[in-house]
Amino acid sequence: MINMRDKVIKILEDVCESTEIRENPDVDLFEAGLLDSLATVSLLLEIESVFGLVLEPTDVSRPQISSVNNIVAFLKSKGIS
Amino acid sequence: MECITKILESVHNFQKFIEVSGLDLAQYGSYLYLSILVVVLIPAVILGILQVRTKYYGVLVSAGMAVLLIWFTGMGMRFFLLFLLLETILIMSFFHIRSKKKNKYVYYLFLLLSMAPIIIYKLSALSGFSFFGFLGISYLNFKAIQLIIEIYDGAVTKVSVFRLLYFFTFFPTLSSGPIDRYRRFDEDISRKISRKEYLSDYLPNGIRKIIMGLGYKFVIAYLIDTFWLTTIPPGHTFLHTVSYMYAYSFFLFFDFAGYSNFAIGTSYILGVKTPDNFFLPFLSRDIKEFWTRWHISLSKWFGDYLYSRLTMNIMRKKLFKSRYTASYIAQIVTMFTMGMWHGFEAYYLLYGLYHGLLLVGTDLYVRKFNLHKKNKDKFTYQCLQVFATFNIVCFGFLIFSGYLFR
Repeated sequence: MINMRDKVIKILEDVCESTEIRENPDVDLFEAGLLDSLATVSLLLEIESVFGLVLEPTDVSRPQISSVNNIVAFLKSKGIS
Repeated sequence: MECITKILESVHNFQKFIEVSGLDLAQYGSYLYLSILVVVLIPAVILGILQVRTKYYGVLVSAGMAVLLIWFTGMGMRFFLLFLLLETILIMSFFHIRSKKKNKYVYYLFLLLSMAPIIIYKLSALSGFSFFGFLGISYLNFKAIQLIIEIYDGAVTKVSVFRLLYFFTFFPTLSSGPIDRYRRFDEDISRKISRKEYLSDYLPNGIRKIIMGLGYKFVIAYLIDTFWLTTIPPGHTFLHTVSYMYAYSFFLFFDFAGYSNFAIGTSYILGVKTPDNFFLPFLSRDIKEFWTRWHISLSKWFGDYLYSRLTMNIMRKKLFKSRYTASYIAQIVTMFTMGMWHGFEAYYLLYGLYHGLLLVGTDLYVRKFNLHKKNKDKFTYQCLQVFATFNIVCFGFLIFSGYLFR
């Protein structure tokens, strides 16, 4: 059973095309230049297909998705575990 | 009845007086307006220090400013009021419908209706017979469209006519933005600001921004205009064109960034943290970065409500193998729409297309070229990038200015 955090990391590695995410779950993905507008859109679509949560770009604020830990916390607040 | 006739008559006389006397009431563009602004802001500062919410005063002043800036100067007061009425009815009724049922087609209908004013206006302007135009229509219409979209998303969960009207008419950003968002604005005007916070944050930062606006617009932009832009002789020789290109680009930046700083500073003093609009755009390393630093409230709007949503829809339908193809199409459509928003004139459309293609080109360059990958962290290379981007951007403004078409 893969936990939610691992799923999030897997998604981010795909959409950001980077492997350094696993090592530092608190790194600011926007400041590191890993999440641009296309990667953000891809992230939302992956959350939609993996967790079944439909999100529009303006449903999430930047801080909510700026790091692995923030995304995990955000998904938990939406009732996903 | 008699009373109304008298009021209309006196407004008419005032309009004539302004016309004959040559009084300039351009928002943040004239000393007369600035003097009025100072007078209007003094009570706001007192209210702020007394820790009284300024929204009622803000509504009052905004109404007064609308009369001054739109009615007295003959900038389409009738259409302004019609717009407010129409959009308020649309938004309130859509909010009511949406709270009962989520229907895609009803949404599209309301979305289209909410865009009608700007579409009618831009189309009529093209034909030479301008209809439905009023000061600020291009900016106000964004606010209406955004509300319909977020109501459909279920993101906007409460709307009141009073707050809606304040959001639309909020005078600091009336004529040219920055374009605010309803939920953000609503939070700001509901907040209770402590005296300490007002005196240490809102007021000093507001004043600082206004002083910056003064320096940008009344000193730098004025000097560029007077001693450079307007001294370029007629005749499109190569040298004149190059000179015009740089002069116009610098003027546009200092004029618009100056205006924006005024608008933001004034908002702060009224307790509203209107978002920033410019952040050193001429130091961008590529076009993608440029659009995160130039006219930020507009590019974010297009990013959130057009580019991202279009890309997501194309990707959901799996029309293309690569997500980059979806993004490229969305980028070109978005920038072309941005061009159309400025007007349907050929040079605006070309300007939009130019930036759409540049965004696609930038992405390909950054992802595919080894030259970039190898050198991107080197200082000299970055300086070259800034220099190249600056010139590409200036050429864009040359198209935008319409100079090449005159």
